[in-house]
This record gives sequence, structure tokens and C-alpha cells, in this order.
Amino acid sequence: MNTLTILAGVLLFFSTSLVGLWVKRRFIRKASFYESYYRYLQYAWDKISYERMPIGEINTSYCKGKKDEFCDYLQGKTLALPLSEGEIDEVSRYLSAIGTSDADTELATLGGKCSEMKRFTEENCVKYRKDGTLYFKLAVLLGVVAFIIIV
Amino acid sequence: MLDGVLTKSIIRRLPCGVTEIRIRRGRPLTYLTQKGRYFSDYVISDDEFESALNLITEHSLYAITEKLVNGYIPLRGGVRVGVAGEGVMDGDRVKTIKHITSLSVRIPHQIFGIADFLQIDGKFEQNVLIISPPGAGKTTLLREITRVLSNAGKCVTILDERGEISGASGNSFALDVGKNSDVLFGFPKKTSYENALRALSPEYIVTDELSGERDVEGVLRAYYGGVKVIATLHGDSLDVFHGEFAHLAPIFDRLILLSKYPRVGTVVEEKKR
Repeated sequence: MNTLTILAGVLLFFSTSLVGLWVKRRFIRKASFYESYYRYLQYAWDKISYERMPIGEINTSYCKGKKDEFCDYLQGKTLALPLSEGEIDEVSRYLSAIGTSDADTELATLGGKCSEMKRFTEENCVKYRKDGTLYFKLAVLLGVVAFIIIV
Repeated sequence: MLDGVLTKSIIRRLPCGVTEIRIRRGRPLTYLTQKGRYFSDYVISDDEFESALNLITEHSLYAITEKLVNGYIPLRGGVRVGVAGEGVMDGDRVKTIKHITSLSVRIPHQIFGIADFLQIDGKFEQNVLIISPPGAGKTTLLREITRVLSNAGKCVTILDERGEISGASGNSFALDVGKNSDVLFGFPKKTSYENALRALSPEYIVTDELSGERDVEGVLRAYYGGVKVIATLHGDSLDVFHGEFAHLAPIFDRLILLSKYPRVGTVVEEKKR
């Protein structure tokens, strides 16, 4: 067993752990994005229902003082989202449809979307966080196994 | 005033001093100035019309649905956009308007001094009715009377349902309505008379475009409550007190008839009673 082999094992261990950390972080970001999206929909429903606030003002006031990826996305900042292209399309399609119908229809649609997102976040966001932790642990384990095999 | 309200390609084609703009799908841009009506050679495409509509509605049709069913969209600075299209009915109620084909943008003006002929001062105690056909300067004169009355120390409440008198937008006013005025903006008339009389203790109530029994009832309540009224009414002669307005005949001390000829705001007849 020479130093080079140990070094390679350690490097492999750290590499897989880093990948695991990245995967875990991506899952957490995804969960946070959807949670913020759901909170935004609730906020929009309130503002439309009670104040008939235009969508531009809703976006500005919701994101005031917030630093999360959903707000960045809402404000048109280009960034790599932790979502697949299909998921981004779905969010984008829904958001661009807000404001195109009368108040009754808008509130009914938004109410429906809120309920759907409530269920979705309840079912998936905890799962995303658990999955993230699981993948991280697996990656660390894989690193350990790789280290043992190599060394 | 029109930045962010109309598309740049439309604004670019408008001269200074424009008072009304007509944007019609697939037809030439038309505008009105003090000198008359002009037809531009710029034809409004479907895309241009949609962009203008999106800007006007701030991409939030729901926010203006209630206004839209009354045929207009109030914008900041007292700009009002009349809308023509197809009504969507829900029983007897107009739910919204779809297939919008025309937008009529009216830009408010403030002309200081046009109410000087009324010689308003702190002792002015008259109910005034301004009568004219549309576009002859009723609201501009009403605004100036309001400003002068208010600055003369009278406590004035403006029932500004559409924000046209004060140019109300959020918590600010684009037009000068005097230092002693309170503005009820966005309230339907039926509610605002009640609110004004109960809560704001005005000496004068100012209201634009009387129409319907609710308005007549409100003016009568104000009058018999000891509050003076300055109002406007559509008409082309001083003989307006018939039908639903018959009850208003004994109320107004001064009637002013305006015409848009030879220029907008011309006082063609005045009657003191």
C-alpha cells in the first residue's frame, strides 16, 4: 500500500461525498422552491381576493426582503433552478396565465392551484429532504466502500 | 403621463397637447387635440393592440373586471380608458368584456383660471351644475372650481368614483384639487354620498356626471343636509330638469352650459337662479 493509493482513496471518498452533498442540496433547494411557490400562490389569492392588486405589485410585495430562488425566478433573474425542464415549464405556464381572466375565474383557478400545491408540498417536500439526506449518506457510503476497495 | 400606459410606438406618434386617443384593432390610430381630430396613417396591428391592452390592464384583468363591466378602466393620473368589445353575461349581470376591439384613452387636463368668471371666494355659497355634451370640458371646469373653492377655505369632499377629477392613484393625486379637499376614490356613488355626509362633514360635495336615481337621491340628501353641491351632467341645453332629474330643479343656483366650439370649455350660456 503506497501513499498514492491512499491519496486516491481519500480523493475518491471526498469526491463521492461532495457529489452526495450537491445532490442533497439540490433536493433541499427544490423543496424550498416549491414551498415558496405555494406561499406565493396563497399570498396572490389573498391580494387578488381582498385588494384586486395587480400581478406586478403582488410579485414585488411578495418578494420584498425575501431571498429565495422562487423570488429570483419570479423577478426574471436567470439562474439554474433545481427543477427539471418539464417542472420549470409547468410553473412558468401557470404563472404567465395569472391575470388573463376576470376576478371570479381567477380566484377559482388560483384557489384550485393552491389546494393542489398544498397537497404537493405536504407530500413531496418532506420526501425531497429525506431523499436528499439518503442520497448524501449513500454517496458517503459509496466513498467509504471505494476507499476500502482501493486501499 | 402615458409612459408605461401605452406602447412606445403609439406614444411616438402623438403630438403634444393630445386630449383623447382612440386605439382600434386593425384601424388607424386617431387622436384629438384642441385643434380637432386627426387620423394617423399608423394602423394598429393585433399584436400592438394586445400589447397596449396588457399595459393598460397591467397584465391583471381580474384587477379591473368590476370597472371593465362599466365600460372603462381607470389608470394613474386620472387617465380613463373606455373599452368596447363583447359583453359576457352571467344571467342579467355583465360578467366581463371579451374580444376587446377599441380603447378610448382620455387624458385629463388642468387649466388654472378657467373658473375665474364665477368669482369664488370664502363667501361663495352656491350649488352649481355644469352641463355639456361629452368632451366639452365639464370635468376640467369642475376640477378648477373644486381647487379654487378648496383653496378659499371651503371643506370640499370629492366623490371621484373613477379618479378623473383628482387623478387619484393609490394614495396620491396627479391633479391639484386644492388644499382643503378630501377624495373618495373608487367608491360607487351610492356609497360615497353616505360616507361623505356621515364621516367627512363637507361644506361642498363635488361629483362628476350625475346619472340615475341614486345620484339624484344623493344630491337631494346632501342639499337637504345643508351641504352645497357642485356637479356635472351630460346635456346640450340648460333644459335638463326632466325625467329622473326633475327633482333637482329647485336645488341648483347656477347653471353653466359648455360647448366644445369654438374651443373646448366655451361657456355658451349661464343662468343664475
